[in-house]
Amino acid sequence: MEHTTIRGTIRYTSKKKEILDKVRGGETFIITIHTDGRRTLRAHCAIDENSPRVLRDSITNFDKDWHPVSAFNQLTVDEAHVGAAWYRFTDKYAECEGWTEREGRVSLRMEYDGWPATFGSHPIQADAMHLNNFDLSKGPGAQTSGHFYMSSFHHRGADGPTLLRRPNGLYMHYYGQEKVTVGAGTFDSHHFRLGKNEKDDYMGSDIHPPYHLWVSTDGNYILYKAYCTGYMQTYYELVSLEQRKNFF
Amino acid sequence: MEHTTIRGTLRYTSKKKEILDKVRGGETFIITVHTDGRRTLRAHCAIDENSPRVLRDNFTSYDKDWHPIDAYNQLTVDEAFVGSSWYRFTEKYAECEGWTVREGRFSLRFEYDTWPSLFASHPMQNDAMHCQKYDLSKGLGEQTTGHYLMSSYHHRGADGPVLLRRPGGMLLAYYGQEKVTVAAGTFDAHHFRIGKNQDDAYMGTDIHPPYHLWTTTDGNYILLKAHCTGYMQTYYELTSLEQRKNFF
Repeated sequence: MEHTTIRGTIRYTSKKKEILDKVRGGETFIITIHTDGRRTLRAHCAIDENSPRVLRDSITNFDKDWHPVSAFNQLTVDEAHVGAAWYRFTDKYAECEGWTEREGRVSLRMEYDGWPATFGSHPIQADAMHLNNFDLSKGPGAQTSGHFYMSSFHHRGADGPTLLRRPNGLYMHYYGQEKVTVGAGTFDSHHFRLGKNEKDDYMGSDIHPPYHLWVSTDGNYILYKAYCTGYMQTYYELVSLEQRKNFF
Repeated sequence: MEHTTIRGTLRYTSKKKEILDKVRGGETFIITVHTDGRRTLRAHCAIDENSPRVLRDNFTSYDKDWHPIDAYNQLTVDEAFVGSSWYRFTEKYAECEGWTVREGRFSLRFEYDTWPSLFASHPMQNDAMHCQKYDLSKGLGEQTTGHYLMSSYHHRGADGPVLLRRPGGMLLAYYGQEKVTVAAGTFDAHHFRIGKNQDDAYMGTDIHPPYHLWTTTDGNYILLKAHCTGYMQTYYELTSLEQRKNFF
């Protein structure tokens, strides 16, 4: 029996008039679907648009039921090292061991009852994988996940990496299936939105704009495209995709 | 000022008669040479030939003087999760926080008097980077590094990942410059050997065979090809190489 390897590249652009469709960063990722159902996501991500310019390395491991079980995050911001952290999750507690320029040596542990729904580590492909928490059998509509953890509350994930809790869960809205065409091809997709805000034309920065994601329908939640509307106007598009058995 | 991104792919084959030139695994790597001189290596490696089949993720970061400063290693062997560890190195001590199926949760710390010369985490590209410890200004010959640390003593790095020490240093032999042609192109190379054994024809398994490496001459120590002779007959070749400013 052999594992599956999925490699992809996401291009980050903008829909702001002054930098319309200009490349502002990108992400390469490799996913392994192990023969026992575990999944590993590795992502190398760069936001190069303006300060804070972020260079992020992230690994997130999920068990066969999509529970996050371990992770690693490493950050460089504005070309300076910020820190690195190792994470481990169980159904009873999460722990984080790290070192950052700001906090020094970090050793954190948080207790809870029941698996966290996901780990918000900030790669766009990891965001797409959060959507496995939406029960598609219930059709279009809104659902809220259980508690989850994050490496940073910054909208670019530009600080930490540390261990932070979101006790109220992740609000997900499902619009249904759509055909999408991106740099990597034409695909059937699930269209989701993260967050309660549904006003795409609201330009205030007091609330995170609607975050739309279109992901694969094969159960792997590969990101095809994403669009943070409102004042952000950030756009993300899959430009290459390879899926194969084993490594080569 | 912008960082440099180097992306490469290595193909693992064999020179054993019965599987001559058959693909037995591979490695994709991304190196960032940061603007302050730090370097980050990420490597995704697979050995698929026979048990123990290894799937490894590794991040290793170096400061501007090539001291290893932190690392992460994660292992799957024969399609089963083995463990993951995070490492931090200073000039006075090394620490390792990890969890493995065999050892459970562990915290390790080693004290010492000076920077470890390197961290052997088992990607082929990281092995090539060990060769920067050879002082090329002294010409051809043999040199031994200071003490160094490893994630595993297994020749495929198929256990741990833990923190292990090699107080006796690493013997590096330098044969000089050679022109080499690999799938990724034709390059000027430094030819090194790791280890005291120089008898390529000796087939005994009581000593590690000579481990020849050809690396770039640009100061980045990109692995162009490698050959473990003797009973191992493993062969490694760079099949793609991209170097650019920033991410895209």
